[in-house]
Amino acid sequence: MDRETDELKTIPGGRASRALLAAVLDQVGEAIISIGDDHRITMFNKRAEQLFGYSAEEAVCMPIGELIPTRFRDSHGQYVGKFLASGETSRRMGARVEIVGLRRDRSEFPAEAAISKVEFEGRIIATVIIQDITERRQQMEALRESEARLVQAEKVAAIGTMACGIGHEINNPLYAILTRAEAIRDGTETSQFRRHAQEIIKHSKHIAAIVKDLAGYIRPGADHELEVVDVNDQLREAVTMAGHSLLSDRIEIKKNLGPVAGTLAKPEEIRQVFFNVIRNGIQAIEGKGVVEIESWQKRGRISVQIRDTGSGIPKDHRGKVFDPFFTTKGPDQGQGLGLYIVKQIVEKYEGTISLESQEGVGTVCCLQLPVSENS
Amino acid sequence: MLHHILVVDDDKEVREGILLQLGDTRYTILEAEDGEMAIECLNNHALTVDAIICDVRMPKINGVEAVAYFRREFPGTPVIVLTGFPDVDLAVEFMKAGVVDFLVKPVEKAKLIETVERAASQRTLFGVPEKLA
Repeated sequence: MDRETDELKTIPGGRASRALLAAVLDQVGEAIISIGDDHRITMFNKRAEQLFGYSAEEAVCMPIGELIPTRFRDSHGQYVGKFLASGETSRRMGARVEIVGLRRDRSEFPAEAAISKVEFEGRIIATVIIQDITERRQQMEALRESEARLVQAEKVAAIGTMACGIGHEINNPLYAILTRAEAIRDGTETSQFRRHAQEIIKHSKHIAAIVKDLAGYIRPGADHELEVVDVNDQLREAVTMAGHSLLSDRIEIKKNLGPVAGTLAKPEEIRQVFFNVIRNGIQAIEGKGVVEIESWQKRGRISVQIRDTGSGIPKDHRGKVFDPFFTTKGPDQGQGLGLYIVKQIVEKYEGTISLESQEGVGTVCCLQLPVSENS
Repeated sequence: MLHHILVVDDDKEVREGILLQLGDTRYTILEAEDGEMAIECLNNHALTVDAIICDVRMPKINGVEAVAYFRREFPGTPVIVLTGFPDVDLAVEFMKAGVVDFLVKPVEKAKLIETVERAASQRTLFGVPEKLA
């Protein structure tokens, strides 16, 4: 040991000092890679070996570009070249840049890199310090997800508040409408007026049912009577409901309902699921179009597919369509709760829902529900 | 039999709606705009009122407080809650408090009459069913 120390003192730049330097660099928790002005690696520490999967022997003389995915190589090479040619000697810690590293096994990882350079014996040597930030990214991702869940919970809580508001603000005037319509119905001998009054009553009851349902969905504690529901019947009823309020001459509804068993659920909820999806399909069609509804059964699951030839869902909206209050429609076409409610109901009955969409072509909604053991 | 019904609701349109639905000769309607007026009315007509139809969200004394007061001070007078809030928990709370029914607006005429008749039949005087008193 003493002899080695003596050597270090007496032979600067000798083998021992290089070994000591290498040992020190190997202790560092970050990958340290030196390159010459030809962009080839001249030094590769232990952490760099672990991070990239190359031994130092393999890495030395290798172009540094080999440690970067092909798609970034050109821009990275230009960046390094510009830095080597500049008068700048180092970048501040804060100026660390995010890069993508490429391991020997061709897998990629996110990293942060800082570069500095020195002139040594007439040659320029740049040193790159690289830190794997996979874990940090994962933590940030987890944090973002947790924040998103919190926002979701807040949105759902807001629905609760809104539903109460809706309950009062809609049901009171609705009651005024209903009672007047009843008075007209019971006070006139004219059959036409009676019929009109009865229509007003029917629609008032429909609005009331929607408000009531909404309040029910946001309260997971609400009890519902379950029964074996004929899925095809509910599809037909949902089409009839949609036909009353939404259909025009330019939209055609095609049904191809295969033999399916029943599912254990509350019928009005299943009907609401289908109605909401069909309504979305109809609303997505601008101009002439078709909504196709199919049902079939396979391996204990009932499948329903509702396809529209509408405008499709833009790519960046696809992840959000089941979020509460997410809407691309105008205020007169809903609050953005339709698919949120659909998902809540479907998942409550251990079903699944997925959407496939292509802009300008249309959207397909695939629903699956379990077959009831009692059907 | 002629029934006296006390209608407690701050919304004039709703009170008129109830009047329209119960508007035949079988019923005499007393109206109150809030819980405070309802209590005053009951204090003056305790023996006359056969049933109370009470809203929940009202100024001054709300429906929850008003119903608690009615049940405590006038236990023989049946109460029907008629509200715009379709809230299951609220319904359970009112049913536990001893109301005859919890109805959500808009309620149809036939349903309201049926409930009022049922409520009035449960009317008691001093804890004794009215027909025996």
